[in-house]
Amino acid sequence: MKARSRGFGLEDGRLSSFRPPDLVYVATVRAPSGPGAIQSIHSPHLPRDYRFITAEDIPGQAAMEFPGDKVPILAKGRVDYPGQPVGLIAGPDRGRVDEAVRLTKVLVDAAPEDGGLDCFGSGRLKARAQRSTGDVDRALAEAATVVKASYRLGAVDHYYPEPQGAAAYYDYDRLVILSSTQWPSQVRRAIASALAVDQSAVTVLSGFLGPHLDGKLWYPSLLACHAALVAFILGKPAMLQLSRDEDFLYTPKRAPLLASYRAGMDEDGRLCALDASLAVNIGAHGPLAAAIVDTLAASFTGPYSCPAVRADVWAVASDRPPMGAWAGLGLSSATYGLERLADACSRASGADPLAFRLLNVSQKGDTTSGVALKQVPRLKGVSERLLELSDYRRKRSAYELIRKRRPDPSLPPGFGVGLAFAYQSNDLLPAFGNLKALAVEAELDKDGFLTIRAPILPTDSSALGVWRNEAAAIIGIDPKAVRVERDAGADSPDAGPAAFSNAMNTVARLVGDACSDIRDRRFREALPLVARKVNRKSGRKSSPLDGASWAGAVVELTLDPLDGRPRVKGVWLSLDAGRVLSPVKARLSLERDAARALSTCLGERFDPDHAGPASIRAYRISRLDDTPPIVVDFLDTGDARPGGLGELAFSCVPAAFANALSQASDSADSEETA
Amino acid sequence: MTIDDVARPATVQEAVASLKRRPDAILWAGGTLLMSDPSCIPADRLVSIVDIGRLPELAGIHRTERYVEVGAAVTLASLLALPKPALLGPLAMAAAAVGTASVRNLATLGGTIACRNRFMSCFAALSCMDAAVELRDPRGVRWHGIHKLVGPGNRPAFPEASMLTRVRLPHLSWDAVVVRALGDPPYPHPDASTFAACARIEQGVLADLRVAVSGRILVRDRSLEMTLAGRRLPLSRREIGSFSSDMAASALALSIPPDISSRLEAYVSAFLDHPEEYAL
Amino acid sequence: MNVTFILNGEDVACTAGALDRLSELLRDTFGMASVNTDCGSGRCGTCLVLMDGRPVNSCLVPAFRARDCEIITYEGFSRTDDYGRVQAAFDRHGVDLCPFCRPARYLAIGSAMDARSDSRGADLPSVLSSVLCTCSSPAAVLAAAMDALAGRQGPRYSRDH
Repeated sequence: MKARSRGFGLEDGRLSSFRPPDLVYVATVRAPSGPGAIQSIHSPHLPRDYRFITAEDIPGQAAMEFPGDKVPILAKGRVDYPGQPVGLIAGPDRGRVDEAVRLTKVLVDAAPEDGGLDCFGSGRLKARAQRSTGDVDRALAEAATVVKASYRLGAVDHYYPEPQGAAAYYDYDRLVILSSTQWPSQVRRAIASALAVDQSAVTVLSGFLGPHLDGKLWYPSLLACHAALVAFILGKPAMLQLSRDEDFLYTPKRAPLLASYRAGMDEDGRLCALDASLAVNIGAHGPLAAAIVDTLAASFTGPYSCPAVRADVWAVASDRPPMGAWAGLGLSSATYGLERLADACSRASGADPLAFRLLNVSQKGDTTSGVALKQVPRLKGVSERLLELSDYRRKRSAYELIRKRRPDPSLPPGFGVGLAFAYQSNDLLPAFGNLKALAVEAELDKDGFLTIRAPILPTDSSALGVWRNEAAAIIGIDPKAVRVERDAGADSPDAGPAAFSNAMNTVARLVGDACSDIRDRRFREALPLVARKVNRKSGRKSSPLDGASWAGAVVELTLDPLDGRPRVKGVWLSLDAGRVLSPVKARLSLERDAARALSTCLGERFDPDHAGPASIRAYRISRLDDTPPIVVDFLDTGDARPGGLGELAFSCVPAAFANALSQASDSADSEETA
Repeated sequence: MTIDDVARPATVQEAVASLKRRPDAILWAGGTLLMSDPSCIPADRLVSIVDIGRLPELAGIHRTERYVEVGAAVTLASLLALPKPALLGPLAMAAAAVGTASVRNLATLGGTIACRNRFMSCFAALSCMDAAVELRDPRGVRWHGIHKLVGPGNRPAFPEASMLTRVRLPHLSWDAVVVRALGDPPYPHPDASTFAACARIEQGVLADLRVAVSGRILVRDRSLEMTLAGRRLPLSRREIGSFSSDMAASALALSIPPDISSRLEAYVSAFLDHPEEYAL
Repeated sequence: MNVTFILNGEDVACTAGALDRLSELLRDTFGMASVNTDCGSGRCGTCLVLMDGRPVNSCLVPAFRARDCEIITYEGFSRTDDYGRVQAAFDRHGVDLCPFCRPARYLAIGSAMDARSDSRGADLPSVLSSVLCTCSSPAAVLAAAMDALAGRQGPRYSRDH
C-alpha cells in the first residue's frame, strides 16, 4: 500500500491526486442552523458499500483537546454553530455520496445567540490576557492631549490553493494520514486519541501546504480525524475534501477584532499613557484563543515607548464557525490597531506621522514591553530607506494641501498616502511544542556528502533549497551534495507546528550551528564528522523587540470620483530582517504577501453573521491585473542573523492602506481628541 | 435536471426549426451563465438543448460605415480583439468587465442579451448605444431596437421561442464613457446592477448624453437625457443636481432599492461633473 | 451521449451526460490530473485548458460542447517546445508556482505564444488573471510570462524545425 500510495501522484502533494483502488469518498453532514439541540437526523437509505457515521461510531475520545477548549469531532446531541459537522457519509461514488448528504435532513432546535464584540458577557469569554505597567488612569488624567479611537478588522479567508481535506489508509497495521497541516504531530495525537490507538500506529504525511497564513494549525486535525474514522470503520482508503464553498464557509478565518484605545500625550507629543481594550470574535470553538490573546497583549505597544500602559484582551465566543489564526496569530491585528492609533495621535498632536513615530520609538533600556530593551528598534534605517523609495514626504505634503484647500469640503480630497511600521519576533509567538527539545544532527560522510537530520522541515521546496545552499556555503561543498531528512520517529518531541516561524527559525539556526561545527573540524579530524546541536535557549527573558525583523510600508491611493473606491497607485516596503539567505526568494515572497495583504483591504469582505453560499461570490480576492506596483527593498545592515519575514507585510500594509484612506477621505470617524 | 436531447443544427434555419418543435428548448451559445448557475436550467422537466454556439452565421462580425453587425454567438473576447474596440464604446468597457479572459473566450454577446430573468451587465451599454437586434422565429426575421426586449415595468421580455441572431451597433463616436458595477453585490445577487453612461461633446457643448442601469430592471430615461443636450460644459451644480436626482427618482419609481438609487444619483453626478475624466 | 474530441493530439471518445463538465471528464475519465475541479463557476481558473487554441475554463464547458473540438491540457502542453520556454523563463525569474495554478498559468502563457491567439503582449496580464491563486508574486509571474513571450517572438518555426 505504501509503495502504491507514493505512486498515486502525490509527489506534487495534492490531496486531489489521491486515487488508490477501493477509495471511499467522505462528505460531511452539517447542521443547517445553530447553536441548539439536535432534534433528529434523517439520512436516506444508503446502498451497500455506503455508510453513515456519527459521533456514536467514534471508538476513542469524541473531542479534540486543546489548552482551554475542546472541539467535538462530530457533534452529539447539540451543535454549537451552523455548519458544524454532525455526521459523515462515505462510499465509493463521489456523486452518490454528495447526493446522500443533500438528502440527509438534520433538525436543530436553533436559538441563535449574539455574536457581536461591542457588548458581551463573561459567559462568552474563551480566554483573557491582561498587561499593565504604571498608573494609566493618572497618566491619562494628567496628559495634555487624550485620543480615543477604535478600529475594527473583519474576518478574512485564507483561500488555500486547494480546499482543505485529508486522506487516510492502512499500510498493513499502520494508519497513514495525508494532511496539508502545519502541525503533523498534532494530527497524529488527535487521531490516536479519537481511534483509541497508540500514536506509534499513526503516520502523518504532509501534503502541499502553500501560503497557509497560520490557518492550518489545528483544523486539518479535525478533517484528518474524519478521514481516519472512515478508514478505521470501513477498512478502506478514505478521502475527505471540502468543496470550495465549504472551505470558505466553515474553516477558520482571521478572528474579527475590535480594538479600542485611549492614548495620552504630553505637550511635546510623547506618549504618556496607553489604555487598550482588544476583543476578538473567536467563534464557537477557540483552540487558539489563549495563544491569540497572549500575542495581542504582548504586542499591543509595538516598538513605542510609553511609561503607563494597560491592555485587557478578550477572546469572545460566538455562535459562528471557529475563527482564529491569520499571519502572526494576532500580531498583525495588534499592529494594525496600533499603527492606526499612531496616525490618530500624530493628527491630534499636529505632528507628521513619521515624526510622531520616531519621537516615540523605544530606546535602549526601555521597559514598555515588560523587559528592558537591549537594542533600539531599527525603525530609523527602515524609515529613511522607505522615504527615499516612496517619495512619501513630498506626496504627503501635496495631499495635505489638497485636503486643506479643496473648494468643496463635503467632497473627499481623493488623494492619500499612508505609512505604518511592523515587526516580527520569534519570541512573541506561542510555543505550542517543546522548543527546548529541538535537536539537529549533521553528518559529513567520507564521500563528501552532507546529511542533515531535523525534527521539522520547511514545507516548501524553495525554503528547503535555501537551507541546502546555506549549509553548502558554510562547509564549502556543492549544494547538490546536501541531503535533508526529517528525523521524525514516534518518540521525537513535538516541536510545535512545522512552518511556524519560531520553531522553524530555531531549527534553521541549529542547522547553521551544526554546519559551522563541521566546517571548523573538517580538515582537522577524519571523516565522517557528526555534529549535533540542541536548542538551549537562555532562561533569561528578553524583549520580543530584541532580535526582531522590522518593516515599514507606504501605500499611495486615490479615490475613484465615480464610485469612491480606493485605487492603489503603489506600495513600497522597506525591511531590515538581518541576513537575507535568498534575496530573490525573499523579495518574491514579500511581493506576494504585500499583494495579498492589500487584497484583504480592497475586496475581501466576509460577514460571518450573514454568511451563505452567495458570500463567496461577493468575496473578491485581487487578481494579477488588480495588483499595483509593489517595491520591496531589504536593508543590508551587516547583521549576521537571519530574521523572520512571513508576517511583516500582513502587519504593516493594511495599516498603511487605512492611514492613506483616512487622508484621502478626510475621515476619522472612530477617533476623537480631548 | 434531465437532458432530453441536444440538437446540433448546421444552419440558423435548422435551429429555428428545432425551436419550432420544442419552443421551450434552451438555446446554448456560450453557456457560461447556464453552467455557473444551475438554477438557470429547469430542474422539474425534461430539457432540450439547441447548440447554436458554432453556427457560422452567428459568428460573423461585419463593419459598415454606419454600424458594426455582430453575430449573437461572437464571444466577448473576439469583440475585444477587434482592431479598434474603442469604436464599440461602452460595450467594449462592459464586455471587458465580464468574468475573466478565459470566461470571455466562452461567453457570447447574445448570451448577455438573451438572459430571460434579468438584464446582464452589457445590456446597459447596449441600451446607451441604442443597439438593434435581429430576432428569428418560425414566422420570419425581424430587426428591432434593443428596447423591444424591455417589457412592462422595465423588466426583461425576451420573446418566447425566438432566437437572437445578430446585434447591430451604430457607429457613434463617444468622448466620455463609463461602465461600472452599481454597488457591491455581484451577480447573482438580485440587486446586482450595472451603470453605463456616455457623452458626446462638441466644442464645449454636451451634444449627446446617455445613461442606463441594467439589473432586474432597466433604467433609461431618454426625455431626461434630452434636457441636458446642447448645454455648455461645465454644467452648473443645479443642472447636475437636478438631472441626477431625477434619474434617481426614475430608478426609485421602478422599484430599484433606495440605496442603489442614491448611489446612482452619486454616479451620475460624478460623471456629469467631470465628463472629460472618462475620455476613452 | 457519445463524445468524441481530440485530446492532446489523440482522438478520444467517451460516454458522458450532456451537461457533464469537461473538467470532470478530463480528470476522472481521461486522468488529466492537472485539471482541477475547484469552484465550478469559472472563478478560480485552475481548470483552464486550451479549446481550439483558446484558454477556457473547462468547468464551464459541457460535454456536448467538447464534441469535435481540440483540447490541450497541461499534460499535452508539457510535451511542446513552448513549455520548455515557459519553464525556463520561470526558472530565470526564480518563480516556483504551486501545483494548482502552474498548469493553468503555463497554458495561459502558451495560448498567448500561439500565433493564432488574440491574447498577445498587452493582454497577457488579463489572460494570466484568469487564474486565481495567491501562491506567488503577481509582478514576478507577469515578468516571467513576458520573458517567455519575448523568447517566442519572431517566426513561428525556427530553421531547426
